[in-house]
Amino acid sequence: MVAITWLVPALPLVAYLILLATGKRISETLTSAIATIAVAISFILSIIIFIKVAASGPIAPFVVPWLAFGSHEITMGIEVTSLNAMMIVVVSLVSTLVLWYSRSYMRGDERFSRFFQYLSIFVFSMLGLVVSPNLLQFYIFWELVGMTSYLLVGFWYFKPEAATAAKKAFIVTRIGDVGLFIGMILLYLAVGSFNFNDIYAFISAHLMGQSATVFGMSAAGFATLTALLVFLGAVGKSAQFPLHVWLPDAMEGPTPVSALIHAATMVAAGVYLVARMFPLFHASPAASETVAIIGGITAILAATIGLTQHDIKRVIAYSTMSQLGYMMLALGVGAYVSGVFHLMTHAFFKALLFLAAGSIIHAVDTQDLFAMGGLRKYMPVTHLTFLAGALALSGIPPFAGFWSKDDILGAAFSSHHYFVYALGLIAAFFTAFYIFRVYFLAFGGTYKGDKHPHEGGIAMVVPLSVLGILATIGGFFNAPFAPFLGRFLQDQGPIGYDPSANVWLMIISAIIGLLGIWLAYTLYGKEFKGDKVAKRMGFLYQLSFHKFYFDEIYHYVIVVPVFFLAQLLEFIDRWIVDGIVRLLGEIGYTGGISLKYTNNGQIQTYGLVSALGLAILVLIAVGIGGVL
Amino acid sequence: MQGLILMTLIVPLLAAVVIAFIPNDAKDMARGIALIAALISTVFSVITFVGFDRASTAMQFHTTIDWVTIQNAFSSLPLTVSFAFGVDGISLPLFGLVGIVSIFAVIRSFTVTERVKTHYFWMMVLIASLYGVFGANDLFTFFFFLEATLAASFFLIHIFGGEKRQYAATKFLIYRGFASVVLLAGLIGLAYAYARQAQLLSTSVYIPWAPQYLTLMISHLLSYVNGIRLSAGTQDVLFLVFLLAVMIEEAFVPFHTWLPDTHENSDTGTNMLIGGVLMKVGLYVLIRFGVELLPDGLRHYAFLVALLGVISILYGAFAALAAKDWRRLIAFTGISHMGLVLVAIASMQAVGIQGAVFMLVSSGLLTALLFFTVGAVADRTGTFTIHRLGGLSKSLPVLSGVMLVAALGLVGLPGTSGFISEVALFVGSFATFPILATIATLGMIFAALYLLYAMQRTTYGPLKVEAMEIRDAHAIEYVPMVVLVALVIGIGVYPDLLGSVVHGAAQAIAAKIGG
Repeated sequence: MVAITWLVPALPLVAYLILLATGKRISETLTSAIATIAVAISFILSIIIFIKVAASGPIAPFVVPWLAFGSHEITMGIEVTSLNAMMIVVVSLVSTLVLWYSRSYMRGDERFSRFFQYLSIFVFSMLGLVVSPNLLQFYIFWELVGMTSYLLVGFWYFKPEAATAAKKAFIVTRIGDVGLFIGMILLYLAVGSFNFNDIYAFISAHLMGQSATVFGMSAAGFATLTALLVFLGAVGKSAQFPLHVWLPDAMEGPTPVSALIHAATMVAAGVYLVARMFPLFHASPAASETVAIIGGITAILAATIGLTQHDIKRVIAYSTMSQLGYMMLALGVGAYVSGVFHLMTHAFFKALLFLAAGSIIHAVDTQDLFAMGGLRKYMPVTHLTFLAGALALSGIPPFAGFWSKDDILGAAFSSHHYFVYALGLIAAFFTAFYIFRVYFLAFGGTYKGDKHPHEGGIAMVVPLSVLGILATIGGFFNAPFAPFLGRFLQDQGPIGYDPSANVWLMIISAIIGLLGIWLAYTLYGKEFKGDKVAKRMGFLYQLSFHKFYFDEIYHYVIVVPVFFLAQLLEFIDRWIVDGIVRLLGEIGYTGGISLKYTNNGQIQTYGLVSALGLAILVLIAVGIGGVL
Repeated sequence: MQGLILMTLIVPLLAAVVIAFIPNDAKDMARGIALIAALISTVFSVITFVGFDRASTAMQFHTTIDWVTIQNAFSSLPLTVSFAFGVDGISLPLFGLVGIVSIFAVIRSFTVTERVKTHYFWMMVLIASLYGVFGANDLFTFFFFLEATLAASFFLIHIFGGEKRQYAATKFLIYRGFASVVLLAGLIGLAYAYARQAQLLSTSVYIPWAPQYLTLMISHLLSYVNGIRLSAGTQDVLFLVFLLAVMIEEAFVPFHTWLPDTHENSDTGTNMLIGGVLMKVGLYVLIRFGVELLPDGLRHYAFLVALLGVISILYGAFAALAAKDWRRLIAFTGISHMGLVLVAIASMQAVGIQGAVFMLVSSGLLTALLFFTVGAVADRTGTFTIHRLGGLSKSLPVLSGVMLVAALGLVGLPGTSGFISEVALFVGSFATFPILATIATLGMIFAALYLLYAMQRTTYGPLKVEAMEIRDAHAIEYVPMVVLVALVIGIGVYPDLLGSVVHGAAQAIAAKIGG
């Protein structure tokens, strides 16, 4: 089993190396085929592994020595837990579909091969991240997916916005990554190992009790500190408040990238991290509470911003942030299975929404919602699949998102987190509204552009359809009456808090979703009066439209002062620090010039000076009590 | 195998002599001789690296050539001054670093067209002395070659540098010359202090080379530590002397202003040698003489040392952010990164020492690579000024790509040598100074900020400069880039390449000093 597990991340890497070597010399068809087939095989292997894990339990870590490190040895390898088995299936499935889709979407791009190289290395890194048996290896791949994200957001490097967005994404997530880095090191210093299993063992042995002190602080304090540091990494990667500002800008990248990296997989890695480190969060109620609240705030904040954006990709990006907030919320209230379940369904329906949006952008050449309209007629497949995705996102039964989102809200309610439950419920209303606002603006009414929109061909239609089906039925993997995923994930014993379904809560959230759709229909579907309502909202509309001014605030509170400090320091360095140096040099030079006039050739003067010098030396010698 | 180190540095010295006697206009002959000599030395250094017995922590590849004997040097006993060579797990990686960077500096200098003979003469002397500094197993030998680097670099800057080369060369000479004087005082003090202590304890402690107490051999001094401990007061004084020398040599704040001026006014080949190798000598001195021979002194001032490191990390980072010239940016990046090493050394942890050596090598490779690519870009565009560049990905995709690898390596991206160095450094630093280490991690964020900001302005966006020569990297430029990138990624993916050499030595040091 280990042999084929290795292949899952290795195949995309092989594809990358082949594409790197062949470059532009092979045709676009062949280029995309190599990458897509490699990942498709990974997907098939993942299915086999998943079945194997379902049948006979997780696969123990298999590791090889990597580096002798102080008095310990660091190893690298592969591990397939239940969670990992589910993740490799989701990641490789979505990757295969996105790669297939990209063949059509990126046709004719000058750097077609480079695009597939980057995507292949991304899939490799993402799968490597998922199967990591230790935190260091996890961190390595975590940074590598960040790097490929940087390269792909800036793929159209000649566009200044893309270049800026790529840099912003890297630096903002880097802030979170440093938190994770510190957390990782503190855990290593306490545990003496990076292995997840050793960390779990340490947590249950030392952090669950009251007695011991760890690293000079109380066990509870240490658990909270490290959990929050780890969570900081997740906040950056999963674009949670307050490090969320990079994700909308990252939409400058090609749309398949948005679908794969910035919706389905990489941004979900933060959620995966919290799930993987769940025992640590379990050991710290304070940290868990923080996770729940940050998740809740992000869910509603992003949903609020999504209400008013004009760019179709940005609306979906804010939706991604918001949904990731739900997952964090779930993990924060202890609902492990619900969070992971939503990660899975979200991967399907959000990748679908992005790919459908890409299909629209491909057809009408604009991302402005108000320049679209009437596409239902021209693009039936895109329309139907988008509708499925939108219903799933809105949490309308029986679509996928209903089951998972309802799970989360139910868990928040029954664990008495009423505040975050309220946040989640309001966000759910907004969610249904903003996505159907997009739906009615794009597909309803009449077409406003002057192109002739049409479907993008088989390579775009098939992935859309597959994802459309998954967004429709994906929820049944863990429906309350047949909780397959819950049983699968808790094969080794219960994890976290798994509430029983509450029919009343389900009905409430379904009604909330329908209300949102109804409102969107009234404002944008039946007749167009959205802009009038927007005007009446005044200040609130501005707040949402300008994304609560986060970019501006960060610009003036952080960016400007940092660059000002740098300029100030440059000035000090040049004119004060180096100025003193030059002044000393100047004194030496002038001193030399004036001293040369003392060389007047008179023996008497020399004699006088020498005598004086000798006297001083003698005095010093007497003073310190001896020559040496 | 015994004479391997000696041969490694004799070859470029012989080449220097030969180059001195060939006709002035025989430019290609000078280049050829330099290339062959550097290549032979590189091969020797690689053989040394591969042939090193990783199981042993002792000095290996001993060679000693006696020079003069001073009668009645200490306690009526003579002292033989000799050239002695040998490497251990700490010096070998840096010795190998000279081998890698030097050959590429020579290749890079093919673009020098004026006074080629002189250029290669001094470059050969510089390369030989760098080998000598890291291959020395003797205080005299070490100091001798350190002084030789000073002279050779001075002439390379003074003759071949940019606009303000005379100012920069003089500044370089004054600063490093002063550091040398301080260092000399420290080295002599160290040798005498250990000799006196050995004499005092000679009845109770076995001294293998008795009755001579005074020794300049580094391996002898290192074995003294096992039985002989200098008094705390002596260690303190000596340590402060060394610290001052190291601060100047490494251009730590506030003694840093000479380094940006030097880099901004030197040719690229010289910059690769100075930034890539020479700037690692000071911290090597600190590990060798500070940690290993004056452990109580370091322990006493550990917090101060770590604090100085943090100051340089932040100061360097902010200055790099404001830098307008790529070479100044690289200079401040170096200062910032060497600050990390300073904190790790002060931690006195085995992992920290391991990370320090890793970082010296990693930073050396990456600095050389970045200087190389920046120089290649400047050849084509005629400028090092960041805001005058832009959009180079279009016309120079290969050079831009390699530049990005170098930048990301310096940012500490996993998969490059920079990452594992930072992990080890910080594990050590956090174990001893959690608060200072936390502040030091700001350097990681800033590194991403200033390097990616500069990359964005250089390679992204619309093309700003009409590249004078728009050809991307040519064949001769591929070799250094491919090899350096391969090494950076090789160490990043499989750090045991370096770790197998360093680990044992770092563990041994930690065991000895009880860290």
